[in-house]
Amino acid sequence: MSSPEPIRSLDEPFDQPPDPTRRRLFALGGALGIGILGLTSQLWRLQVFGGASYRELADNNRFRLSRLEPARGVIYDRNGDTLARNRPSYVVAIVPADLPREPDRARTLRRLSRLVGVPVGRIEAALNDRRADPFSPVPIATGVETSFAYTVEERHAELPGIQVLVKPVREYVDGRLLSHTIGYVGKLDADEFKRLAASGDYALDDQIGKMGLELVREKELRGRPGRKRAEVDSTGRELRVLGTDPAKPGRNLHLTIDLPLQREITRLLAEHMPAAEVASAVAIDPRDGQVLALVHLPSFDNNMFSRELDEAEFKALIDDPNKPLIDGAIGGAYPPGAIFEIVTALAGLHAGVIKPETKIECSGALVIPDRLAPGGVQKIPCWTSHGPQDCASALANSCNVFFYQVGGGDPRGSFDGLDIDRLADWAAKLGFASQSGIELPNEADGLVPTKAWKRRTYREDWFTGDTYNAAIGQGYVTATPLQVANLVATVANGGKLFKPQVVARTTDERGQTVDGYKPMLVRDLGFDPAKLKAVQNGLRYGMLIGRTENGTNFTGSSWQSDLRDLATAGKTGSPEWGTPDASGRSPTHGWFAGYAPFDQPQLALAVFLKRGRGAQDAARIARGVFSFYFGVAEG
Amino acid sequence: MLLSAAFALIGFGVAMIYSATYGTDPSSSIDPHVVRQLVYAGMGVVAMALLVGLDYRVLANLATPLYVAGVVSLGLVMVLGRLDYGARRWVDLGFFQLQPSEPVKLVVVVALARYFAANRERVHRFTTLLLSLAITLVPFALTLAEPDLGTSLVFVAIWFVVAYAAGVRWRHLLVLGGAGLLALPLVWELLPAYMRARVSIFLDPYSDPLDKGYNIIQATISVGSGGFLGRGFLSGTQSQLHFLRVQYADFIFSVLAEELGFVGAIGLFALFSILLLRGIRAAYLASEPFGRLVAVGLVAMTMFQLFVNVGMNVSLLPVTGIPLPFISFGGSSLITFMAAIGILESIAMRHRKFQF
Repeated sequence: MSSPEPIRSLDEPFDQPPDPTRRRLFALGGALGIGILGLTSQLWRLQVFGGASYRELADNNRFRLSRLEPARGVIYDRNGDTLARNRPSYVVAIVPADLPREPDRARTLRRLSRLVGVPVGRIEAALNDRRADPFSPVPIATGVETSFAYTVEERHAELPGIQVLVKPVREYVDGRLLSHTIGYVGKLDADEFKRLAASGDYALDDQIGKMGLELVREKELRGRPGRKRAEVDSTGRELRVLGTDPAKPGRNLHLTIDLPLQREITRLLAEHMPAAEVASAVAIDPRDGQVLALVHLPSFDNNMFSRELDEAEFKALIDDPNKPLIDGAIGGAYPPGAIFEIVTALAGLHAGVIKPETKIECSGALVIPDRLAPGGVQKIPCWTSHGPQDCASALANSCNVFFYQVGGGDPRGSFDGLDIDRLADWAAKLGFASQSGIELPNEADGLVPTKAWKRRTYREDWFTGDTYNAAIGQGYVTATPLQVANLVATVANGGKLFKPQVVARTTDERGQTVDGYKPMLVRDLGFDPAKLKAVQNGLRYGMLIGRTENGTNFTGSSWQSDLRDLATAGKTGSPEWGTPDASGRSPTHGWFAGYAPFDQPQLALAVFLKRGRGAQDAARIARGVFSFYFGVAEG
Repeated sequence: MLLSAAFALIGFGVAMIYSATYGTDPSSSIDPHVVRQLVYAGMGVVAMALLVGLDYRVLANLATPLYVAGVVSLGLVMVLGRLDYGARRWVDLGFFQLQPSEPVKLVVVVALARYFAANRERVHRFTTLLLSLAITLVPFALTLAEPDLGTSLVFVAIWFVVAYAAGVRWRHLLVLGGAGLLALPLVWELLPAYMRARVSIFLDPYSDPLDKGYNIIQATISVGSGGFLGRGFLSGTQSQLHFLRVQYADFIFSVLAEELGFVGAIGLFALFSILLLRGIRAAYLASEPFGRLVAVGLVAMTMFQLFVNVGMNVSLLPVTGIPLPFISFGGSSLITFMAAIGILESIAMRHRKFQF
């Protein structure tokens, strides 16, 4: 090969390179040495000193602890019919930490958006809300179809960071029937999350009971979540499961509620809606306090909270003046009217104001001498002129005059009445003016006035007229349908006030009973059997026409509701409320309180209609209830 | 020794790429990247052989046309280049992506060596130095505009070391260095956002652990978790579970450090040290200044990339996008460095002024 054109440098002698360059070559070698040394020392620092902690970080990357959802307990009625259960549903979610970097990230989100029909903007907003915890799945689409869920799973490779989760949805069978008692579940709100997050048992997306038994028994129904430790790759895909701590399923609740009875009572009440505006009924077993039915209309379908909440529907419920979301059966307090005479009777008998055979004349009105105008009188009318009444017939006839005097004494002074404080005391013993303790939330206390109460509230003295009103359950007195039902239950069982309960027993996931039913006695009233009998007879006579053993006549206020083949007992009430119309008439509530069978009571019932007439409406409903429950013909 | 060290490194590289891509493609047992790197190595062997056989002094004569060709190719890449991650660095030649900034490094080495050798008497003059800087600045600026900050810095490094070896006055270098430092704030302002972000994320990678800081954090975890002996070939959890993105390229050192540990990394350094020391020896033995300076420039190029790439992997330096010579996946880089080895061998062989 010919020599290329020489460059000048070829003329240089071939001896050692000039000194400066040689020195500088050594410097280059030195630089190499320094560089290697520097890198080596950093490697030493990272790998030898820091090796253990970096290994831990590497493990944090690939080991993921995920939660296993516990199965929420099922709610049954007393016969084993399902009231609330869990339906599986698929949720498409994103684990933000597993999303790829840009530009794949945008591409993946677009693909997902097209697939599930959620705009990318909404997806981004959801991801942004959860910036703080990138390893928890962010739900994007809920309630997706099974086939759709499979499609997303199949296309896993194009959708890194996207997961399909199985999340149960709470389903209420016949949602309108027991929506107040059972309640519903919803997503944790900010306050609840703050309170519960520390325990580690709740995550941001979890459902929690918001109302009714779902709320009160949340801990039992929920169970406890489990944990699963898995090895994952950088897209979050599980490679293998390393260990599981299984979830503890929630306990099942078996309610005391009898579903067929609940359904029938609801149907009977519904016939009077919407005219009655509000209708409630409570049915209790007087032997142990089990609540067999708890009905309140208007009602709502608690399934609406399991779906995507329809804002308009929800707003309609909140704005409805009759407040469908509140359980009026336990939370609504109304003047009980003549029903309260049962209390007055029991109090009067046991305080010695009257005896079972005491007769008081009713001439159609209570005549009160007017102290301001000598010789003048005030007349407070009764329904009709009842003639001489004993306690039993007075109850059956619903005679106001009788009970005015038991409460406030004879205006002519021949005997003193109970007076309000003693009446209030007896009322309180019988469960009025305080919560019964039923385990549902938002129970109302109701009110029975006392002299001190009036002074505190109105800064006025107590008048005898107030006592008269209180004695017949009007004026300041209010009570809930539950308190009324509990009253007649106590009369029915001979004087034991029980705490009403809605849960009969709880079972575990295998169906084994965990807690059975334990009746809770609040107090034994210690009734005198003869005195109690007078009141019980009074209730029985309320369904009949006839004459008592003391020779007084009665025409039971609900005699038209008597059942031929079943001996029932009961009392009606039609207290006035609100403002009178142009003709001076005020609207009335419609109450019934009673029990059956008379000899061995098994069912105590209270029926309430906000707009109704006691004997006409409420008693008829009661007849339908007794007939259904005991399987006898009406009439 | 030079050649053996080079081939050892190449083999090392292929093995690490195999590990880095292990299991990603379920359809084949060997990932296509491994195959392609072997093909590139084959092409590199051809280039190396040609350059070993060639008298390197030919390059001196071709310096000017090579330089022009290089500049033109850098200009072309701005026009024809494939847009990838917001940068135009490659020209798609169908079967091969050519990154012109790689071979242009060789061209700059040759051009600077030729310039300094030709102006040996005037090397103490400041103007000489300035002119050499001007020669470097053109490809530097074109590369920077792609944008590719990392590679453009290689040009500066080459210039600095070759100028130093050529014998320019210390003072002159200091003046320019000082001027450079003073210009730093201005440069900072002019830097595009992404480059500034690179520096700030280097200072605090945990400020954005899922996006910008992710690779730095994962690389550090990978390196650290290797420990002294490493996790075992194909057994590094970070690498095998792909917590590092694109780990067969710039971050391949992390894979090596995780799986082969401290000892593996030291082994790599040993191979590189042998290679670079042989390169310096070639410079020492070179028969004339041109050869000496070419050798110095090639050593500087390799050393700079080694330090910057490993520095980035062990979080001593910000992310710069410079590949690890011989190891990182990439045809343009591998062939360029193998060509460089060819030239070095040519220089070493001809130190007694006989011709082949």
